[in-house]
Amino acid sequence: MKPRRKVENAIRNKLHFPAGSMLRDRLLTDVMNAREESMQIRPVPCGPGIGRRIMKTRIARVASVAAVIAVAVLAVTFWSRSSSPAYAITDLPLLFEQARTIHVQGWHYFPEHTMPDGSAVPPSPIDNWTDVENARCRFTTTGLLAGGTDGVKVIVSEVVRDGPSWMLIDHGDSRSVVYLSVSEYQQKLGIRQISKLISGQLFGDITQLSNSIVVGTERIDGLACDIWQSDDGQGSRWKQWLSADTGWLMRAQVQRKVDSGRWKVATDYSLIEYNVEPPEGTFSLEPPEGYTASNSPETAYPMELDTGHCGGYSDEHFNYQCGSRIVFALADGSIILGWQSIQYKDAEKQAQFFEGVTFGGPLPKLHLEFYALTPANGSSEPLYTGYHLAFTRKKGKFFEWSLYVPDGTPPVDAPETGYEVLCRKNLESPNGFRIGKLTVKPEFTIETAEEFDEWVLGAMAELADDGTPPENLTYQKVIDLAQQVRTSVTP
Amino acid sequence: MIEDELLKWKFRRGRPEALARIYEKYLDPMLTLAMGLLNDRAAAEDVVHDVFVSFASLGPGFRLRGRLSGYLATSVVNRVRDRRRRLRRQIVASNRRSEPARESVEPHRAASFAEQAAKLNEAVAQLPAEQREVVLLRLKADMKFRDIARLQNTSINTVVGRYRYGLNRLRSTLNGEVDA
Repeated sequence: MKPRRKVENAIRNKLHFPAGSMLRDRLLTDVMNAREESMQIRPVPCGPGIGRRIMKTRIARVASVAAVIAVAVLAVTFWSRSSSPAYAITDLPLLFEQARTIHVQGWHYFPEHTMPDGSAVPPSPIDNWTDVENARCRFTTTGLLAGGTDGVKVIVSEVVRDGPSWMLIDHGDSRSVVYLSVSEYQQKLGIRQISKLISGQLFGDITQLSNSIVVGTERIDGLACDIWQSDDGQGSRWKQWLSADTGWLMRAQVQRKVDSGRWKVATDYSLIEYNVEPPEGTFSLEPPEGYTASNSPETAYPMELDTGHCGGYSDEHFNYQCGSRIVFALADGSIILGWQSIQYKDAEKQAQFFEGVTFGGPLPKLHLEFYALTPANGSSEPLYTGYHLAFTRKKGKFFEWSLYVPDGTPPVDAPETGYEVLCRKNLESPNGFRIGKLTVKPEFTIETAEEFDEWVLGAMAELADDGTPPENLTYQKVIDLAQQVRTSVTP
Repeated sequence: MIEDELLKWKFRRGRPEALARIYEKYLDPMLTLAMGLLNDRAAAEDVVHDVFVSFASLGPGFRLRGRLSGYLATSVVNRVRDRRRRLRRQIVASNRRSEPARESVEPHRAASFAEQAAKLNEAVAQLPAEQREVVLLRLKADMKFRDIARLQNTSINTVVGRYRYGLNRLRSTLNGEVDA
């Protein structure tokens, strides 16, 4: 009889069934699809915008909000001590687009954490490049793993975006890369939104406003800068150095109030350069030496269209999920929203909700219905009521495309600040749903029939199995519908 | 271990590379576990497919205090049990013969397996279900007896006993058959 230890070793070492390539392929596709779907159903910012994913770490979030203020201050009327010109908030994307390249260097610090021996956590470098002309970028994301037996661990990743391929580099223990791919439409959208991409890396959401004041002046590289500062009242302080002459952001800093009551730097974007030539290989999609690739650019995981400006909800068992995919504003103030509401246990049941829906008619009575919008600035007026435009279907999922028409004059800044989605539960037992605030923001404003065809119909085609938009849907028909609705609701 | 903690951390934050790595790391072990429990390649693949897709759906906010391998192994075991229950119901309902329809390795499939693995699997398949679970979870998923006891809803002593009986039976079955 075999000794027991030998049997144990035999089971451990010899009993092994590797997965075949067919299973690997099938499973990988399904797993990545399931992941994509799960990313849209949480009441948090999500989506493929890698630039936005850095906001999921606390430090990066704080840093991003800091930089938001840098943008916000441009919209604030300068007060007495400043001789700087006042900039509208919409000037900043324009300024970014005027640069050929933008290079940001700095450090993430971790003032609220210490190593097991009490020493400071080593800072993590920031080195971000954006090639505005060619819509390429490379940027670092940093997180902190605390509470393990090894004390704290700084986790650094990098993202390189160039054309249809993205490379995600894990600088952690695994030292690995993974490739993602985006469609031609997504690439076009990325190029169109290059300023959002840059500000996303630097600042997060540029539309968040806050009050800042000038607390001093300083020269950076010979340029006079005003130093702006704001506190959030919850232990975070932001400082920005803005060129008094040009409005360019020259430096930004996030500070945290530690237990001793002192302010300590958490993130310092100490160097912000414009129009500097990136070093050769900056945007290379080759894995760094010593790193292993989970896949290749040829086998990159495809990313489904999701602008990352949206969010969603799910019930506690993930049987029902819903969320928005992409949003556009129309020049008349109406909004077009692509969204979905899925019952996972039987996706085919979605079809019944779309039977009989007509252009300009009521929305399909999906389990969770995005029936209206209101401005996200806190005002309950005007109310944007939803009307059905079309639906598309991809991989068994239905996407509803709705037009939301305001019943009054829309706020001027609504496309920048976004819209809150009002949801109606059409469930028999809706108690399991976790409903939070869901805000959507338009990518940009559609002003012509050509833009409508390119961007709105293009988005619909992206989320359709056959890659074509619904038939007979035109810009003019949508504009006419909005006008008809406004006429009927206006006294 | 630290890699798994990092993977969990990244996965919670919706990082696709974490999911890809978890998939790469645990696909084969979980398939082996499912094969050991079911002794049916197609059924094992279905179970592993469901486990990973379900796991991927957890997405951001996923919180797991225990070990990732233990979580996935437990998911495999639960789905194998569900499958057995379903099969049992189907068999009763259709008044078929009482032997499980898919509990044997088809010859053409077995031929493609490594010979030793197939022999080992055949031996494991002869164990009673509870002993099989304990042996595989302990040796292939590195689960602690305490966690297996919780999964089997029984005491640690019972689980250790099942493990000992299972190994003794395997020693007898495998005598001279498989090199360690």
